[in-house]
Amino acid sequence: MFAEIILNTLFVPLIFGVVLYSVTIVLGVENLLTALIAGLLIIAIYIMLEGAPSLPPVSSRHKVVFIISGIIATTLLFSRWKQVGNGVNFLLLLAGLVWLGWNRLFDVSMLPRFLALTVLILLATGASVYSARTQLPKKDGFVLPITLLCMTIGGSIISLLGAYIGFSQALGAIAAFIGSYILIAFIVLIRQPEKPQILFSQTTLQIISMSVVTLLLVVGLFAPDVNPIALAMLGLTFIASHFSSRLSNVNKRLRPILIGLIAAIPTAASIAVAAL
Amino acid sequence: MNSHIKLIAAFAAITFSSAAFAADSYKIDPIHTWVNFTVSHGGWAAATGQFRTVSGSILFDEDEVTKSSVQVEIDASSVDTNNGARDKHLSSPDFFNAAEFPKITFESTSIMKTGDNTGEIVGNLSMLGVSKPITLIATFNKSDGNKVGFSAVGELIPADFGMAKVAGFGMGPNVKFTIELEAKK
Repeated sequence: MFAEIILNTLFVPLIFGVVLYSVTIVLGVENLLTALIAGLLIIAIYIMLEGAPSLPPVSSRHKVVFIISGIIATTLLFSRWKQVGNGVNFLLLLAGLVWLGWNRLFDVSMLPRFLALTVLILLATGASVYSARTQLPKKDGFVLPITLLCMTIGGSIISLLGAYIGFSQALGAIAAFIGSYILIAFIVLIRQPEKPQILFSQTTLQIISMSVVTLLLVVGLFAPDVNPIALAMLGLTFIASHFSSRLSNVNKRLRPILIGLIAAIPTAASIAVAAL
Repeated sequence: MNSHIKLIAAFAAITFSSAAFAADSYKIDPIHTWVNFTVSHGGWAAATGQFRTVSGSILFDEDEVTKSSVQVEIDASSVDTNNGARDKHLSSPDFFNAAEFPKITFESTSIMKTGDNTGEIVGNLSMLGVSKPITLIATFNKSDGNKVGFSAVGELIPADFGMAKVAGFGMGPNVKFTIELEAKK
């Protein structure tokens, strides 16, 4: 059993990261097919851990696959008009929040959770708008992937502290997926520092970040003991990417490590709040 | 006048005799009801737990058991396995998903007498948004006119209700459960 958990949560996602890196080299970073494959690999990781969804979906665990599929479709559809895509994804996530939490929508005790998750959606969308406007993935390819890595690790720990092990595993597996991709890119950077490092296109990043936010919505709504403030604070990791992008004078090989340290500050703070 | 009295007497006789043979209605006594479950913990031991909040009603016809029925409602978040952290995890969407599906319900569809005081209750168990038929082997323990007592056992496969993590965490795959209940008029 333990071996199977390690295999599904760690090894398979690590291999998926290698697969995505290979796909990126073959098809190109900006190719929409690369973005589609990234999204499909996230769905594959999710289904591997949580099982295939029923049709029509019965529980929130089933609905997640449909929301992520919607995010992939709209992001690809509006890939030329990224800010429109951001707006549509924002509405899609809000609609997803209502759909997921439908039976608890009028429960007053749930208000802090709904508010915290709305803040998280706003921060994620804001980061995506900022990234598209400043063309951050082209300026510094490591910033947003590392931010997302920190967010998924943080989300995984917060979910675990909230007594929801299944989604802790799912978020941990996505962290392994993003992490292995970043690791390969980092090794390439060490060997060839002068080579431009565009890890993901804006479209791919939008798909990955909104998919991660979708999983966090389920954690926020249904984890028995989750701290909603911790989840809202986790969204501040996105803001850290704004500061990380100002490290242009730092040695290229050191920059990813510094980005990681900056992004880890709000992540660590949110974990500390969750543990209180 | 005489015919009127006869008519009223006949009506009263029919009414009272049918009342005497009708099924009696009982409410489950939550203080004296126990719903326990047992699941293999990876073959090491049989993990056991119970639900602390159970309610429902029974329509019981001692003379014609097939005319009886039972309806039970269990609060999913009341799961108790003698460990708070585990109970919270059991309430999560990995298992009972109590926030999204707060109630587990059972409603009988047919009851068959199998012995002097035993029977087979077939009904629909609704859990996690999925409804499936299950069979309970029930024993009628005793009755004093105001109170009845039953024992029942059953078995289910959690994966049938979408609870795949039971097997995923190395437990099960089957869950056995026992119900000990008293019900009052």
